[in-house]
Amino acid sequence: MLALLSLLAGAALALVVRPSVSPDQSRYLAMAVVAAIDSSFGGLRAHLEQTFSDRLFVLAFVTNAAVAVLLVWIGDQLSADLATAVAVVFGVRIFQNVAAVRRHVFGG
Amino acid sequence: MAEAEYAVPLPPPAAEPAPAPARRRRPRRSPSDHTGDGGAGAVPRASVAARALIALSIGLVGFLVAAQWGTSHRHTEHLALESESDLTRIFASLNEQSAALRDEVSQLRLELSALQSSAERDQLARDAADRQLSDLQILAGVVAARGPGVAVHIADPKGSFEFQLLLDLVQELRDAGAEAIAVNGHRVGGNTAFSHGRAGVTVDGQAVTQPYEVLAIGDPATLEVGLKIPGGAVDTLDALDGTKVAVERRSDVRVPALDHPPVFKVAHPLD
Repeated sequence: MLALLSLLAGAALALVVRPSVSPDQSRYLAMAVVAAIDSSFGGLRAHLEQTFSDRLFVLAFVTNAAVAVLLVWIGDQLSADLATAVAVVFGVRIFQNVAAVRRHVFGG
Repeated sequence: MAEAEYAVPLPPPAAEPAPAPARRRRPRRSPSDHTGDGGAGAVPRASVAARALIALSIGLVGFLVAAQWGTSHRHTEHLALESESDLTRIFASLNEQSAALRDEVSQLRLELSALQSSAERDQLARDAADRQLSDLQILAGVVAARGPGVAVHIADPKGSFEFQLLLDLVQELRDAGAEAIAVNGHRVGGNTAFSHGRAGVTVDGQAVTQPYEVLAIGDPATLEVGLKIPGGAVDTLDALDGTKVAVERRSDVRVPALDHPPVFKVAHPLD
């Protein structure tokens, strides 16, 4: 409940503040967002599996986002499209997490 | 759906946390062992600070999503979705547009410079015409004039001064380069006539009486020399009975305009 509320609060804040993100930074931010979403679903899944650890959740949340941004940045420096790689990996993981959540919720 | 298939085998590692499967999920689970299989107790056991951190993280997710949402809408150009041939076409048309605009700019520049030069020419012509007009006005005597010159005073108590002598004097002044001449306040213009009236000399039909004062604008030295040529106007006047002539250089001589500017009724410019 708290998580949902803070999610809405953060979204509302962003809508109010309207932070301007330059197109260059937008690429990195997008990856960070994908990583953060993955972490959130991972946390939800862990919670449902009753293996949730707040410490690790926060840690994973931060490191995942940081690593995602770092990877994209390195990919840009090497002119390799690592952004796609990051997106694919986190996309797959989001699917996995959502699937796990679904199984927990609806029984599987 | 394929992911769901992948996901199926994953729960086992969750069941056996110690083996350390892969990635982040493993560490997150292993501490869950330390906390024990607290079940629903796992979350409630979290401290206030931890809950705040979690809330902060989730809030950050919301913030980032919303921020990125807006910007992605703002920044996502259609270009990224266009095919290569479309992009080539767009690029070509943009190039064309820019070339056309550049052409327009240079053409307008040319036009501007042409107009400027023609305006300058017009200005020059107007200035020249103005100068010529003022010269001609002075010459015709239709405007008052001022400048350095001489004043010739002629005292003639015995009335021996004749209009022919005045004509000679004016002629002499013009010869010496006088640009504007007036006799007793009457401008001598292009068709001014001197004659003999009842009271003496008349200028354009108006009587002038002694002492006469002839004003002339021109180079004072030249005028004076011209007047004082041996056997010239001054000598002739001095030789008359009872007349006294004085020539005085002046740095500022003012002569009035003609009382009645000439009106041409018959003569027309040829051009």
